[in-house]
Amino acid sequence: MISIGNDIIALDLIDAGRTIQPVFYSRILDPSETGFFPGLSPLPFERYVWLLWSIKESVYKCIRRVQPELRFSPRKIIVKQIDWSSDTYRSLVYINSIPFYAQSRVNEKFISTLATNGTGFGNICWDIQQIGQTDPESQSQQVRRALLERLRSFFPNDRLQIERADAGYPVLVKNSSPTNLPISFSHHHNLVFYSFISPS
Amino acid sequence: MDRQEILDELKKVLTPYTANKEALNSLNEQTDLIKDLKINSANLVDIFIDAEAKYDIEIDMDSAEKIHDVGSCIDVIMEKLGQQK
Repeated sequence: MISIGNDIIALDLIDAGRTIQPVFYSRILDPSETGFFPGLSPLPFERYVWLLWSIKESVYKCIRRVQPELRFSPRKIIVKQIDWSSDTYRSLVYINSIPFYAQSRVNEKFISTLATNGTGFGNICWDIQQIGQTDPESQSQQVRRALLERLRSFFPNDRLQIERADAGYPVLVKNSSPTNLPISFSHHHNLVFYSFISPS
Repeated sequence: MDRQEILDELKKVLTPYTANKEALNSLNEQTDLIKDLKINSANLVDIFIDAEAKYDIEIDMDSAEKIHDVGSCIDVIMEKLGQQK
């Protein structure tokens, strides 16, 4: 079953001083992962830590659709490889011998990651938007509104809504029936990020 | 320290990271950190570190994995405090 997951980190909200303390980053990074950092220069270390968090969270969201009982434990999701070009980072993660692929962007405002267990990103539709209100209800409403608006271009004659599965992942409901179309969304501060596998 | 005392102190740890301030007023052991308090998952590491400092304990990876609501958080803190005796 092909799945996806995404995550976004608003860099305005990260505490760089705290992030670079070993007591903090050692809860996120496996010792083997600190070895990638010198090769990813000029990324500041605090952004590297949050890049890896973002990859791990996205992969977790991706696998949760397949293994709903799994709990998020960043140190147990290990990034095996990262390559970068300009502001894009491509990584490979294995969980129980299953490969996951992640594609991240890092700029001055945010770190975003899209993860999949599929073979590529070409068929994944996504968008990141800035919103005015940063309270949880507005974040939740805005990301769902943006996602549904985009999905309506694929399903113009259907009644669409988003619900949560018991395990917590979002489910697209079409004409009152749950679909298997993988969708994912995230929000942080004034940023919302949605993604789904193109149904066409 | 009993569970109620830990809950009262834990409320102070959670406050800076809680987006839903109303839920803090009715905080109980069933309160889910992410679903009810709307804590961003990116702040969970901050909460573990603050709780460790407050209670002078160490919350290891396996224990952190068990924490999802206030009750499970109290369970872990009590377990770690018990190990100090």
